[in-house]
Amino acid sequence: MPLSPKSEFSREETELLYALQRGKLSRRRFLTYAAGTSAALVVAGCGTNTLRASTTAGTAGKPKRGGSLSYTLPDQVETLDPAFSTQFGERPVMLCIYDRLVTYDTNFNITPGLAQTWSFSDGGKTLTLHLQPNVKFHDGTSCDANAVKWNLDRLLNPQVNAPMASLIVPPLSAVTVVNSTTVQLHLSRPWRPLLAALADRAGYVVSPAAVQKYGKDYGSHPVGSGPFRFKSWVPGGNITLERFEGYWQKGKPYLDEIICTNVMDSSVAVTALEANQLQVLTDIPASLLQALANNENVSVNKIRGGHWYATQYDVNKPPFNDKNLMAAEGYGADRKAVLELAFSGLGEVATNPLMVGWAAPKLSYPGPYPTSLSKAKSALAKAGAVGHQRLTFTAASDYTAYSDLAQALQPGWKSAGLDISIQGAAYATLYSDLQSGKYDWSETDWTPRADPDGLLRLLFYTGNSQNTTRFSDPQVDHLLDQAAEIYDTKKALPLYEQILSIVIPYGGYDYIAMPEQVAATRSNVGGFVQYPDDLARLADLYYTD
Amino acid sequence: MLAYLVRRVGHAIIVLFGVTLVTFLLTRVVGNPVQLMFGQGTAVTPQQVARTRASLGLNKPLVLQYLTWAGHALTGNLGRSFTEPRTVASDIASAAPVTIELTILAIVLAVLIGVSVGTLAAVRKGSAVDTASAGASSLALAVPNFWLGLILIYVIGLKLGWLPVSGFTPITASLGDNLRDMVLPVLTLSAFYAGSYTRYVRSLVLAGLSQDYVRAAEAKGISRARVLRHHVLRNALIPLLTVIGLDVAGLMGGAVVTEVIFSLPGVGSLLENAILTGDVPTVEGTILVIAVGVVVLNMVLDLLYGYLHPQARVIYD
Repeated sequence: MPLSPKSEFSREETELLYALQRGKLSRRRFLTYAAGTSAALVVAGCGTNTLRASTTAGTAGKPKRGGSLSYTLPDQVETLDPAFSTQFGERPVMLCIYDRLVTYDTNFNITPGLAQTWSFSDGGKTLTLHLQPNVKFHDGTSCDANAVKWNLDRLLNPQVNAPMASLIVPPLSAVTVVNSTTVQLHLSRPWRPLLAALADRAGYVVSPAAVQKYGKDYGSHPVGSGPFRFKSWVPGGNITLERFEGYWQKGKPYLDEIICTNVMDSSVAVTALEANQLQVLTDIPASLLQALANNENVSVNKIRGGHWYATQYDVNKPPFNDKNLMAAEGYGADRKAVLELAFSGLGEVATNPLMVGWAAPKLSYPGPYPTSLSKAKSALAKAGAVGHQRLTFTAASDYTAYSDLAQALQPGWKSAGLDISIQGAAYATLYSDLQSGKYDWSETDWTPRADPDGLLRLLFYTGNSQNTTRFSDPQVDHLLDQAAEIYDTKKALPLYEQILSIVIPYGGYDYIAMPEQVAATRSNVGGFVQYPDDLARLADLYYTD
Repeated sequence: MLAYLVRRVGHAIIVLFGVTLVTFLLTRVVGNPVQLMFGQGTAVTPQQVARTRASLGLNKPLVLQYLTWAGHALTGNLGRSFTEPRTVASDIASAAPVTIELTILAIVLAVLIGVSVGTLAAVRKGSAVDTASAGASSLALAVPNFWLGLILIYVIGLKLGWLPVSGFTPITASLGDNLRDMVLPVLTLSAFYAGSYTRYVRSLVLAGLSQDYVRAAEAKGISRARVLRHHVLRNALIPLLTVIGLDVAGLMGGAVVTEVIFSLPGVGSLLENAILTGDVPTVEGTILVIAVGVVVLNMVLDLLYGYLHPQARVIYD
């Protein structure tokens, strides 16, 4: 039962419901507990926000101004220059330091950022952004249309060679300033994903003066217009941010200071949260939740998320260019076993590369190859000689989720008749090795983007550097380009349905599981809302007492 | 003596040349740094990749790349990181003190424990103290250091609340906080060595105590304690010094596991991260610094050994 952020149930009741659903609790015991906790809640409810607050969006507590909050980043920060930012752990920090041109809500609907309003013209080839007036960077310089143009020109400049350029270039071809609060983006063709890209790393606005001042070192001296200014950075250690008093959203942010730490071990991070040395923690492995669930000073927050795990294979060469083998692999995958082993049963079976958003198949879609031992065996029989050879699955032995996935899937595949051997590899270099084509059959995971074009183009467009299954279909390429030009999502939807009907079964990915996105905060932390992109919005947080 | 020094320096240069050359080959020829740099989730065109390779000098012939790098390294310029907006030298300069402090404190603690408990156990051979120390040192040797670290964090950090669970304060920010943050990591790292040195010192002291000169000295009327302090221990510490030197040299590679458990931004985590993100200059620079450290340390130890053990000097001269 996926939980939405606006669940009616308290954390206690939710845990009980989950246990009931998984058959681990008899009905009678559930009712006994529920009655007990309800009574306890009535008594405890006076004056504390601990239990009820946990699973509702935000909390009932009143925001207090002030305080220092510590959070540990999901991976190591290399640079805080958004044009060059490739690590996931950099983004929560950048969300505090910078404003984005536009933002999105928890349903990926585009919402205002530095741009208050916007409009498309010229058949969708010109985007006019009307910027918030009187915005200043942390260094006092003006964050106006000229600054925005400077930022986008920087992405357009091939000498700068920013990796993030590929988010909007092509089709962005030029940027013009109309007046100090109006800037126009000119595209070579209409392109709906542009706004989603401007809500991502292409839309973070940095101070031109600071880049000119620091040159190549800018990434370790970031200057933005966001709610927090950069204070200090111990390389490999803590990044400290302090409130920017001149922030354009009056009254915000609430916190005085945010400390982003680099705690490398998850069990240490969970212990640190319990000891109140961290106040927020995201990406909590399901196996460590038990410790937190019993701690009354910690609120656990779960949402449906969009982060899916899959196996993948090279569809361009034997053996997996054989459609029957693809089917056998898919039907033989015991997805529920993976959910149990890797994610303690928290989550759902993954069925497609989108899973969330307006272009995703309905929740009832069962996937191209729903687990079925009999269908797996008959598909394997149809595959003939190809199905009888020894197949090597490469698993990352040093990354728990990946090794659990391989371990849970192996028995099902063996029962289906696949002759498998599993070899280990290092997680950190696995993706790069997949790009080099080193392994035929392995595993992966991806998080959702705000626009369906985002991930579909990365995974399935011919020759994309992120297309590691070597899928290539000119018809799909053409459909992707066509669909990206359509602004009306209702009109674009049939094209995406057509694309998905081809890429889901034959794209080279066997979608396995999508775990719940689990985070936790100290109970006196308010304003915490999880987004399905799994990025913590630290700047919105406050203490309630 | 001078000839000896010159020979040693010559050896050192050969070692450093070999180590850096192998590192160069492994990172720039066998590895694919540009691909690792971009990672998963960032689409890049072949033109972008080519431009990046060119700007990082990866297109040039390998010999030229090596000579350029070596030339700069001799002047202390280790280049810029491929992935971070910093110079390699500044990264190492902030990471090295952390690892050096951790390593030295751990070894000092281990030596203090080892010498005191080991000597006591030797002097009171067969007693309860001796048995207890044998048990404790076995335990210290057997317990995996990451497990010990996690237990210490849980018990002392969380349950007792005496010390912070994680975090690191640079020594420049606050000496007090820095030492407080180092207590658990130092305890964790030193445990194994404390156990090892206890057993080693015990056997060295026992061997020393059975020497003829000890009996002669006691016959002359010199007290046990004085004999221990002025003769036996001095002789026992010389081989111990060699062992310590080897251990410190090994640890200078970064007590990686301890650094990861306690999230210390030291050389171990710097090197690990650099390898995994394709940050070639940082890998090369860090390995060079570690190699220099190991070589220098070994030279110093050899000289110290010669000083302490007059007979050894004959071999070197």
